[in-house]
Amino acid sequence: MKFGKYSHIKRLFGIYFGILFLFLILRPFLIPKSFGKFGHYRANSIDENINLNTKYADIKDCKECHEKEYNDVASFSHKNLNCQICHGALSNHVENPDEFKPNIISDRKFCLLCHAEIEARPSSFKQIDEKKHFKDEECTSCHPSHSPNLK
Amino acid sequence: MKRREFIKSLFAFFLTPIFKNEIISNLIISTFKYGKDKFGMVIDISKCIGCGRCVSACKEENDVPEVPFYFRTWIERYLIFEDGEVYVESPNGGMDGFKRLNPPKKIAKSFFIPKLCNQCEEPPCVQVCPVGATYETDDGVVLIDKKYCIGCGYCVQACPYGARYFHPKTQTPDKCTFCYHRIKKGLLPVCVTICPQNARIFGKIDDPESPVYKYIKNYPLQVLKPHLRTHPKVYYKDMDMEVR
Amino acid sequence: MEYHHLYDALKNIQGFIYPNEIELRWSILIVLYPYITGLVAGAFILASLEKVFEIKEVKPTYRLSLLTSLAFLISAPIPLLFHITYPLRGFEIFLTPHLSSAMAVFGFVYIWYLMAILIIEIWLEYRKDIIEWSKRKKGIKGIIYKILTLGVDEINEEIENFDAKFGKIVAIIGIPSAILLHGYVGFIFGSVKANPWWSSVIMPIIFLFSAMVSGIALVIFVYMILNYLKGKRLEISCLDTMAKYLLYAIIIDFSLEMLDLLQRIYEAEEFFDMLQVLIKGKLFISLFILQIIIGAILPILFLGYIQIFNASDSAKKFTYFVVSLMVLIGIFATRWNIVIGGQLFSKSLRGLTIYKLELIGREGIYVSFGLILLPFIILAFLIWLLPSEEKK
Repeated sequence: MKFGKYSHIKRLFGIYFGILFLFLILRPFLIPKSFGKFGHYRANSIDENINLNTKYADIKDCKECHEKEYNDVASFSHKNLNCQICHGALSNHVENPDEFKPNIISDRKFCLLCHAEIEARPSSFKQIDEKKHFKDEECTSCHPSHSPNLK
Repeated sequence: MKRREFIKSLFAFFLTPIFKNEIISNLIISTFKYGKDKFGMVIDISKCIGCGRCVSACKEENDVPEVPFYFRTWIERYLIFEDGEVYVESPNGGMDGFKRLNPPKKIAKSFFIPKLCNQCEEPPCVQVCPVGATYETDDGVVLIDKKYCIGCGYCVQACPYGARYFHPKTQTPDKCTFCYHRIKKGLLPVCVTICPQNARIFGKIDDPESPVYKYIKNYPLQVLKPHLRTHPKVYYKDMDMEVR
Repeated sequence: MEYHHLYDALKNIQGFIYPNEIELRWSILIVLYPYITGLVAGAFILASLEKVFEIKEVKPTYRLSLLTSLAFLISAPIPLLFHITYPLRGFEIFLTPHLSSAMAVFGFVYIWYLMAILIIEIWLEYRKDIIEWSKRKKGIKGIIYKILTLGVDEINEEIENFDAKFGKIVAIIGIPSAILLHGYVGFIFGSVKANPWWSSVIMPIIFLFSAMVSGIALVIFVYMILNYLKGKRLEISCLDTMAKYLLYAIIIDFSLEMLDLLQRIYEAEEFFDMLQVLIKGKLFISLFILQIIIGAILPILFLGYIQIFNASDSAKKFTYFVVSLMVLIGIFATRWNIVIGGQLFSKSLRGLTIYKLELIGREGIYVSFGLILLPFIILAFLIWLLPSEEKK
C-alpha cells in the first residue's frame, strides 16, 4: 500500500481548500473599487444617480428673461402655476433659448385636465361641466392663459 | 429560602427594565427621531385635484416609459358610496386625468391620493437585495445601483407600496428617487415643482425652517401601512381610513 | 418594446391593483426553482434513512437517491440563471453577499451542500468501485474514473471502514444541511412582510415537508422506471417502506398546509376577502383539484388502504407508480399556488392581477419543459457513469 489511511481525504480537502484560497485571493480584485465606502453598496453609484440630466428648469430662470410675462401671470389666478405645466420641460430652452423653443399648449382638452368637473375634485376648486359650458369653444377665447379671470 | 431569593432576583434582572417608563415610551419611535437630517414629503390630500401633471412631468424628467404599466408616481381616485362600497381606480396612473363617471349610486366621499416611493427609513427593499444594489443614502433617499443589479426582482416583491417596477430598457428595477439629481443641486423634485395646487411639500424633516417640519408639527399626519414598521418618509394630511 | 401582453393583462385585472403590479416578475421559472431544490432535499433525506437511521429495506435505492439528489442539485441554479436579467453578474452574490437578504445566503448554502455533503458522500460510497473500474475500464469512462480516484488507486479493509464511518458523519451533517438548503427557500417567501399570502412563520416548514414528500415520490418514480428499462426485478419490501414513509410525510405536510389555511380563514385579516375571490376563482383548479385532492387526499387514501388492508404485489406496484406521479404533480401545484398565487394578489388588498404563461421565450412553457427534463438527462449520465445497483 503506497497510500496512507487518509491520503484520499487529504487530496480531496486539498482541492477544496485550493479553490477556496483562489476565491479569497481573487475576491478583492473582482469587487468594484468604491464598494463598502458608506455601506453595503457601490459608493460611486451615488454620483451616477446625481449626474443625470434635468429636463425641467427652475421657475426663477423663466423670470430672468421673461419678466413681463411673469408679472402678467402673477396678477391673476394662475399666479401659483409653474410655467412648465403649459410650456413643457424648459431646461433645454434655458440653456439654448434660440435652438429650443418652448411649446404652447392651450387647447380646451388641456384646460379641462384641471378644470373639468369630475368626481373627487375638491368643490373649492374652479371647475365647469364640460358638456354644457361652451362645449365647442376654445377656453382661451374668453380666458387667456396668462390672465384667465373674467373682467 | 435561598432558592426563592434566587428566582426572585432572576425575575428582577430580566423583567425590571420592561416596566420602567422611559423604555416603554421609546419603543415606537417618532418621525422626529428617524427623520434626522433626512428628506421627506408631505402630501396634502385636500388640495389634490387629480390633474395628473405630476405623473406626466415625472415620466418626462426621469425617462419612465410612456406606457400605462410603469410609474414612479401615480394618482389613485377613491369613490366611497353611501352604501359603503369603495371604488378605486388609477387609469394610466392618472397621467391623462380622470373621467367623469356619473355613477348610479350616491357618493358619500371621494378624493385623490398621489402615491410614490415612501423612501422608508427601514426599507424592506434594501433588506432583501442579495448583492447590495439598492441602498439608502445618508440624507434618507433610497437609490438603485443599476450597474450592479442582477435583476432578481426580490426588491419589487418586498415593497409593500407597489412603488417599484421593472424598467424595460435598463432591465433593472426602477423607482422614485425624490429626483435625487435635482435635490442635490438645490432644486425641488419635479412633481413638487409642477403641482398647480402645491399639494406636495418637500424638504428636510427636522429643519425648523422647512415646510415639511411645519406640517409635521402642526397637523395630524398619516403614513401608509404603519403596521409594517417601514418608517415611511412620505406623510399624508387628511388621508381617509379607506386608503391602503 | 413589446407591450402586447401587458395591454391584454390590463383588460383582465379584477378590482384595483397598484399600477406597477400589472407585470408579474416571478414567473414559472421561479416556481421550478423551489420545486427542484425540494426534490434535492427530499431525495437526500430518503438516502439518509438508510445511512443514518439504518433502515435496511431502502438500501436498494440508497445510491439512486444520492445520484438523483446530485442530478437535481446541478440543475437547480439553471432556472435562476435564466430568470435574472444579468446572469453574468450573478457571481456578485459570492463577492458581496448582502447578508440581511435570505437570497444572498443561497450561494453559500448551495456550495456547502454540493461540496461538503453530496459530493463527499457519493464519492465515499462509490470509491471502492471507482478504484476497481479505473483499472478495468477503457476509453473515456476509464479516464473519468482515474480522475475521480484523485490518484489514490488502492484500497484495503481498514480504509473501507474509515470511509464508512466518515460517510456516516457526513450523512448526519447532511440532514440539517438539506433542511437548510430548502428551508431557506421557504424563508425567502415567508419573510416578505409586504405580501400577506407569503408572510407566515410556517412557510419554511411547509416547504420542507412538501420537499420531503416530493423527493420520496421522485425516487419511487425513478426507481420503478429505471428497473423497468433495465428489465430488473423490483424489491417490493423497498417500495413498501418508501411508500410508508411517503404516506407519513404526506399526512404531516397536508396537516401543516391545512393548518395554515384554516388559521388564515379563522383570523380573517384584511386580505381575506381577496383571498376568497382568488381561491374560488383563478386558483381553484390548482389549489383544490391539483394540490389538495390529487396531491394529498387521493394519495393518502390509496397508500393508507394498502397500509391497512394490504394488496397484491402488482396492485401495489401500480398504485405506487400512479401515486408518485400524482404527488409530483400535486407538489408542483403547491409551489405554483405559493409563487404565482402570492403575486396575483394586489398589495392594495383590493384586486387581483393576471399571469399569462408564454409558450416561447426565456420564461415560457418550452423552456420550462426543457428545465424539467434536464435533471433526468443528467441523472441518466450519472447512472451510466456510476451504476446505481446496490453495493455488493
